[in-house]
Amino acid sequence: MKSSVLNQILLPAISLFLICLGCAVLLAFTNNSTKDVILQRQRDAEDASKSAVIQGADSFSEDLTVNVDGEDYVYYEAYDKDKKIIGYIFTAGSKGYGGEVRIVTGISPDGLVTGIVPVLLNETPGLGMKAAGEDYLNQYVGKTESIGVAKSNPGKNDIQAISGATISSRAVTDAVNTAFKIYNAIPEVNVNG
Amino acid sequence: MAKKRSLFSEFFKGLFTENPVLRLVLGTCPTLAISTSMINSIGMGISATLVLFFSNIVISALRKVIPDKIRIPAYVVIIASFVTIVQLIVKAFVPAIDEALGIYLPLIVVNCIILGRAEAFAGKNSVLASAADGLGMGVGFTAALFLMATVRELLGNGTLFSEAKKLLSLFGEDALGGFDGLDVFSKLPDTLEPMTVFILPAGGFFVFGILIAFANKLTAQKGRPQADLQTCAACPMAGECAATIVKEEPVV
Repeated sequence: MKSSVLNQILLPAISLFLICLGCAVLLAFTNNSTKDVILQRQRDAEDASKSAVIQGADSFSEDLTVNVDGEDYVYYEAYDKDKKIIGYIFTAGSKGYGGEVRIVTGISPDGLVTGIVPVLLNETPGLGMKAAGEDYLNQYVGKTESIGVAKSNPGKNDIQAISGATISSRAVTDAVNTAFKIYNAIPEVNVNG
Repeated sequence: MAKKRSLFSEFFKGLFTENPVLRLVLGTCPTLAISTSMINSIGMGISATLVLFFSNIVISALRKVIPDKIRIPAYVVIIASFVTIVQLIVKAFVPAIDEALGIYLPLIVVNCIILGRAEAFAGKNSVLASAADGLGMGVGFTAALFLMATVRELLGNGTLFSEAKKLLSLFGEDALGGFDGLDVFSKLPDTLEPMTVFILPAGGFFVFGILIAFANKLTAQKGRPQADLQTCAACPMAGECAATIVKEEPVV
């Protein structure tokens, strides 16, 4: 009886425990030697997208939060060399054709889009994915609040939708419009305006 | 069990006669999803090969220690650990590939090629043979993926090796003179547009089916080594399944 308990329960449990222990040690070692590099890469990528949406920014603020409709949003201020605010940076999401879309938007103190960069975009290749192209993204520069999407003959504050991918175009535009909602909630913007 | 084979043939069988994608039809989910870009397919292939190689070695080395009852959880723990290690390394050194592969990189854990080889091969064979098997299957997977991606990227996107910098950045900023892919269709008349369907899932199935047909045709030729697909022998239910009993004891 005793040996069967040993063979049936104890031995499998102990060997599985030992395998897990060995794997945990291996993982801890790998994590330890890669975590700094990964963190640095993520910071670099974040800084790169911040610099891409606001030209000529010299430094950025720490995380700032603002409350819109009971939800906290993080945003950043961008400064020039003289520590003067030259823009605000927001990350806003919406729903596209292929799932969540996240867009980093830069808005100048006078309320114009300075640039946008998609950080998460999983649209259909060849159709919606064209929204990641420079030609499309540059359309947003200089636009102001409540941007519209037009299939043809876009108005002054409209974006020309990508043909065959209106949903993706709308998703990007919605995210930019959400950025404006956050922008309008920032106290300093309200004081100045 | 299959008769003994040389290490070379253990390696070589994964490339062709028992190619995991085209002959065993394993790991089709990442195959169809990733094979839209040649560079992504190489990144995926190398990651999966590393996991397959190391997990096959460890599982084979521990095959006499792991009690039969808990072999599946043990395999999964070992495979998941290697996948996480590979993922961390890719994140740290080729982040662009990590971004492009997305969820498919951690999903190597449940790639049936890896668990399939652990169960069908590494759990029953020596360490050296398992290493050769893992490497062969990995290279076979990469080759099939690359072949599919070449057809799909060229016809569907009109490019070859687009965004090659993602991988080449490993060897410095200006490796291969800053080569970043060829835009084939831009050199052709404007009336020729790439066929987007080949980038979409439907086109993936077209290419997949045609490649499988070619692989079957070639392996069926006379004089080629016969495939040992082990379809039933590898199954844990083999002893109790009616189909196997009939198959393994044919009436003479």
